[in-house]
Amino acid sequence: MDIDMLNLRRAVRGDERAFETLIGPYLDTTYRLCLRMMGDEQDAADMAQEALVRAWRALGSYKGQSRFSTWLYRVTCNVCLDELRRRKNIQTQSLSALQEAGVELVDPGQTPEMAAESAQTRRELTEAIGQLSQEHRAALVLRDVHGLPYEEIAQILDVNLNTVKSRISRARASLRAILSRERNFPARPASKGAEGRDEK
Amino acid sequence: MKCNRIVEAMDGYLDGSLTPLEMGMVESHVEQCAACREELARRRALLDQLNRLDEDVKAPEGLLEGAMQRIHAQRKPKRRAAYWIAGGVAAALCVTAGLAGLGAMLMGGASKMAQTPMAAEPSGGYYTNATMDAGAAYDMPTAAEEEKAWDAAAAIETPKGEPEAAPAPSPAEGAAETMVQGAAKDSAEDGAQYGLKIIRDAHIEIQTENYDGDVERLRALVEEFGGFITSNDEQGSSAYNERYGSSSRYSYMSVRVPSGSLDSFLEQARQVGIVTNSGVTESDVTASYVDTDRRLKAYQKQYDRVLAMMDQAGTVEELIQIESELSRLELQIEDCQGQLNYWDSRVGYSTVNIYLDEVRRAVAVTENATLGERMRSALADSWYGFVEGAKDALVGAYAALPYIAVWVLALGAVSAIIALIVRGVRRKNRKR
Repeated sequence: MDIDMLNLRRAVRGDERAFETLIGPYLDTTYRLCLRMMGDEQDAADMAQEALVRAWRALGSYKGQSRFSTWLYRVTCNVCLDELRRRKNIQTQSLSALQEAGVELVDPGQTPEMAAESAQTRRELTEAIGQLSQEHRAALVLRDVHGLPYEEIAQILDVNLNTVKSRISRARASLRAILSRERNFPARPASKGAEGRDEK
Repeated sequence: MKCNRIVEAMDGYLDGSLTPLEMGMVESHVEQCAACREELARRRALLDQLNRLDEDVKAPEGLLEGAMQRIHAQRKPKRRAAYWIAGGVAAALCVTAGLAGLGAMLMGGASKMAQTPMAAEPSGGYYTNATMDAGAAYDMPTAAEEEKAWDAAAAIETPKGEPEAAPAPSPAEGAAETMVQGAAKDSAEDGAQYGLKIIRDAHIEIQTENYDGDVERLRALVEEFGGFITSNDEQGSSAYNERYGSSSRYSYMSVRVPSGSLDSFLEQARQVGIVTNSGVTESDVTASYVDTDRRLKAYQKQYDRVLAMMDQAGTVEELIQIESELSRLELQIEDCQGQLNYWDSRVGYSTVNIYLDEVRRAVAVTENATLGERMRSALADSWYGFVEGAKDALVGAYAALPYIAVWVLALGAVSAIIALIVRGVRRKNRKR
């Protein structure tokens, strides 16, 4: 078990402080997932808060059948996907919000040149991830940004393992396509092969 | 082997999900084919970038606080709603039971059976149901308006006590402070003259069966050690507990005790109940302390010098410049002074967070319990649960008595009247 049962039990019983202790270690990951799913810091903060509130309400339904972090990921993911579905027409965020995000994400320890370069990369990646479909985005972010194993992603997204695999591989292919388009590289014929592979 | 087969396998290769044979095939192909090598490197770089994309991202401050405020605000109306719903359900069930009883009685006519307390069982049952409903209603969603009202109320509430997070030591100042930093450099050697500055804080979680007594005991203990309570947050009420049989009271006390007697204080506090969690954290702030103190002195010197320059200032611009420099230095001095005061206070007095949790039965947590011990404690737990359940059932049945009494009286009265009428009719018949 990856959490202390004492605080979990107390939190289920309605102890708010126990819940705070319980949830504390997961704040950063929760926020990171929201940030990637929503693409915007304000939205991410709102969704992360919503996810915490929903986790509190649904805490009774967590029966230890999976790791707590998996369960929380699932709650968070659903909150984001619900919201994205709700406002389907809003595709990507404005350029200023992106720049803001890019600039604020810079590691203060870096030299200005490195910072500029990595901010540029981050901006590109952020934008490219934002262009993926919701399902692809969720799968790719969980796998490649959060580094979760396929099995856990299958639990979080509530789909079977093969679907997860094919979603991730498709998502990676589209991400590469978007990036190469944006970097003005002609798409390599080889990467087309990868795209053609898609769902078998 | 064709290139596109290899490219297809690249993601699997990077994930490490290929068989060793396939891995070998990809590797040997990549060694020979420059295009695939390049593609693989590009994909690896992309994955690497994605992996590191968010590693520095931290949740915004106030995320948890905001969420907890919403959670807290949403709970209150539910509790109130639970009472209303419980009351409503109980009333409805009583009325239904009453009507049913009346109907049955009317149809059954003037039976002598009416005297027997036949309503006893169902009535008791209904009461228990109503109580349980109250618990279930706890989580029922409330009307949006109500929620909004509570959100508004929560917004007005003053925020809880300031968390005692140490303000980050101010980063190195601009180029103007080279002198200041130079002064701070040899601070380590002079550290001895300040003595060690060590902050020792502790936390302790205690389970208690005697909540009120132990809260008092802790208060007395704090006083005895010359400490004081900075915050005490108690939740849950005994009235609620007696009513619903759950013991959800807890107290979250933040106390300060002189750091010299922290250990003996903790030892005493451990005697209060069953300790489920405790620990002491120490952090050595000597280096930062000395550094800040040096900076403070340097700033003060600088301030005096700039102040002296004021007399020589000729133009208004110069005066304004000096003024702004002075106010900048004042800020720095206040900042350093504040930091030092803060550290002095943290070093002199240890913060102890005490979490006192009321339980109906405090159980010591044994680590590495043997099978026998676990079995024994499991049996003890289930026996305890059984006894508590039986008690609750008894309380439920007892609480139903007033309802039973009222219905028995009503039924008795009605049946007596009917019996009188019947007797009257028979007498009339006999007379005929």
